[in-house]
Amino acid sequence: MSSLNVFVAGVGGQGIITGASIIARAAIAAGVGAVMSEVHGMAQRGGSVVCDLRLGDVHSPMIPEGEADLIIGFEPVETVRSLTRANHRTVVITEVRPNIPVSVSLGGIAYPAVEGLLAYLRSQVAAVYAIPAAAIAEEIGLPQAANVVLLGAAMGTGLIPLELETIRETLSRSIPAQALEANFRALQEGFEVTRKV
Amino acid sequence: MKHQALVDGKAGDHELLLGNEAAVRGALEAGIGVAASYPGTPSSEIGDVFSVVAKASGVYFEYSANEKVALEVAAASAASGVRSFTFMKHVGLNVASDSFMTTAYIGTRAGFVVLSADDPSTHSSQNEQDNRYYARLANVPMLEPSNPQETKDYMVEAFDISEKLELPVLLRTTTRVAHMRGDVVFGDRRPVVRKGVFEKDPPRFVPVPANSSKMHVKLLGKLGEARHLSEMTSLNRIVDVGAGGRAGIVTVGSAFNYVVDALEELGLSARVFKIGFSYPLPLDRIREFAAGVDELLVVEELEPLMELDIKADFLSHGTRTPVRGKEELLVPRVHELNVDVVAKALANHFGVPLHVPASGRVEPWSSPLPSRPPVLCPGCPHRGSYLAVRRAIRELGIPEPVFASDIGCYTLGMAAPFSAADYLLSMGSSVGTAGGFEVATDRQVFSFIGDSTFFHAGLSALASAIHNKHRFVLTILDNRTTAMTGHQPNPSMLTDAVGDPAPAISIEAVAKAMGVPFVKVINPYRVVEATEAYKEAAKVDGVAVIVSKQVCSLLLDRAKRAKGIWQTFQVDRGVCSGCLICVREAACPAIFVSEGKAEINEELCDGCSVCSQICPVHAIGVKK
Repeated sequence: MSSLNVFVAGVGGQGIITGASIIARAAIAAGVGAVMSEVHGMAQRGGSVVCDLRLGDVHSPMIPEGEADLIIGFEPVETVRSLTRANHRTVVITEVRPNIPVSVSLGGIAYPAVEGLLAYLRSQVAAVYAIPAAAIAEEIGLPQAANVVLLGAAMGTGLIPLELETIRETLSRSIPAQALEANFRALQEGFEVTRKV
Repeated sequence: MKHQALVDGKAGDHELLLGNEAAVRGALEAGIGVAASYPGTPSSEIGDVFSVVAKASGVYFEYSANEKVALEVAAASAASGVRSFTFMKHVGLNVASDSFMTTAYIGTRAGFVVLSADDPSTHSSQNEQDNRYYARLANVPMLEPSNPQETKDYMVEAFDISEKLELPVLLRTTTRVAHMRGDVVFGDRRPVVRKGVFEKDPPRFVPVPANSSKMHVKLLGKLGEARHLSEMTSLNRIVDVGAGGRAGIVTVGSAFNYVVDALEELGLSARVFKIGFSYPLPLDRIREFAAGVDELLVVEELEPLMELDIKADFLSHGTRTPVRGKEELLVPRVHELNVDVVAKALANHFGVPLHVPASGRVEPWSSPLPSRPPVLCPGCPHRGSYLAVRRAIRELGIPEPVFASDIGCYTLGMAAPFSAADYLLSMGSSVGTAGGFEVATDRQVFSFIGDSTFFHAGLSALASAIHNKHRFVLTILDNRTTAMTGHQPNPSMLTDAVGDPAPAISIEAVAKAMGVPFVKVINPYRVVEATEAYKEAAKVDGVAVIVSKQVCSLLLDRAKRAKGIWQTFQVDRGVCSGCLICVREAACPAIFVSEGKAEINEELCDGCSVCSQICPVHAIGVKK
């Protein structure tokens, strides 16, 4: 089974499915097989959302436990939660900005220190790229493009068997023209972050 | 236009499609003229796509008030010679089942396909019932695809089979097929036939007792023909994994995907009988298949339906091949399967060790992580309604009431601090169960139902409650949409499923016309007024209806952003006393605690102002 398993995790409304679909669309365009499993419905109302993306020759759209090659976490706690899919060779990209769940505000379990979360990730997997994607997107002037920054970072790892140009072409087919330039910048900035590391 | 490719795509084109999007393309390739539905996850995107493409593809599409009405629209249209499609979530077929059962008796003229999207593991449902029973209950053929490509292809097959047998065909998907995205190669589109002729034939279409007893005999004859088609079809096929060999597996739907991947992961070979036409089963071919293998493992999600059919058939034919599956707990009977669960079953069955990732598993995070269940969105109007109800109850000193809830985003009111969902059965059940609690307890009853759910199944329940002199407060949460499933229209709105103007039915006018003694419309963003309204309603001797009218914040935010009108709130830390009433009573995702005082996340705040109204020291104001 030659496949690349990409697990994407975050909070409803962060553009998780959109981000993963862009990779899948680009893969199909490049002649690489792709299947995805998505979460729709009530879980999207601020709850944890995950999306499984598998490139290559597989049938199941869901990644087995411990078989993710790349994890893209849109929120630090959600990244840690998704580590059941990881093994010691997994590469992890994570947003560093927390999104505090209501359960914490209402006096439940405290939100763990982000440094502690990152240290745990680093102790478990092959590589961790901690990225201020939301801050980068804000700087570009398109806060909703944090997912594209993370997408660029995923491409920067070199794990995804696709050309950056193919991703750009896919973006240009799915994003309104007026937002395209900012999205290209978000993609490139993310790409540079992981390539520099 | 979004989804343009579904309309214009030519045979041979490739598209990356969600299973539900592929179902629409399949319906268009089959040349349907009419589609009708009521939204429900995991089937909702089928309707979302039809809303966009119906006009451009020459198809009539409607959101009916509920699944039963949708099925009836499609059945009558198919009886008139127009290929027709209705689709719903699994529990939607419960609602439609009364008419569905009879469509099997009276049959159809043009193709008539009923898609049921089941939800094993209850990702977004109140149960995980196995709707494959409905094919057996109604005696209709059933197809089960494994992926988006098959979903499209099987739709076309389903219409052909339906027309050939003059029977409705059930196409059953599950969440993992409906919400799987994959490459789909298109076929040709058959021309749309939008209008037919209804040729009257009462002995065939009117199941009065004299006719219906004959219909049942005829139906069983058709089921025999269906069995013949199932024996012949390539939808039921043998797939050799690895070297094939003498290990046999029978599987269906998404379980097929897991079986193939798990076999490869474990490095095992097997002959896999992939079932696509799953009722009636091709039992002759399965028996023949079993003769060439040492043992037969049946891998299916939820109920052991194929397993028991196969065991019964083998028993009556003296087939000695052992059949294993759920009866000996090899394959679980609850929740959806996946590669891990199937690999475990296969490892047990074949007596081989489980696969472990080469580099070893990671250590889990040592302490519990904060949970992140779905919550009411920032600015959600339901927050204001629940907050006002809780305040009214407190201010009047009402002993803890019973909260009868219903199906929608507002079921999230179950969580603290509102704790306003104590009992829930199904769409519309808040109204009927409110009467039951009122009759059987001394507690006051508050029930909640959404606008769409009210038209779905609340109307007749309300008539019943009024006539039987029940006493409870019914809130109709009128957020001007069917929010939870993705903002589909409902009969209280000014536009229909395809965006055309439509007569809007006023909920308050309906309630008044039915004779409700107390009807009040509130704006849930006005905390004091809303609380006063509930205090009045709680004293009414009869059914009191509060229509809490405020558009879903997700829609309102979109509109406000488009118009450039946007305000957020902030906490003046110098004024904030740290009482945290805003946190405890509103439980808004935008409010968090920082060093003992409330803070507002500007990114999440939608400017609804509810928190600013409940702050006792007026520390929350519009951010300048």
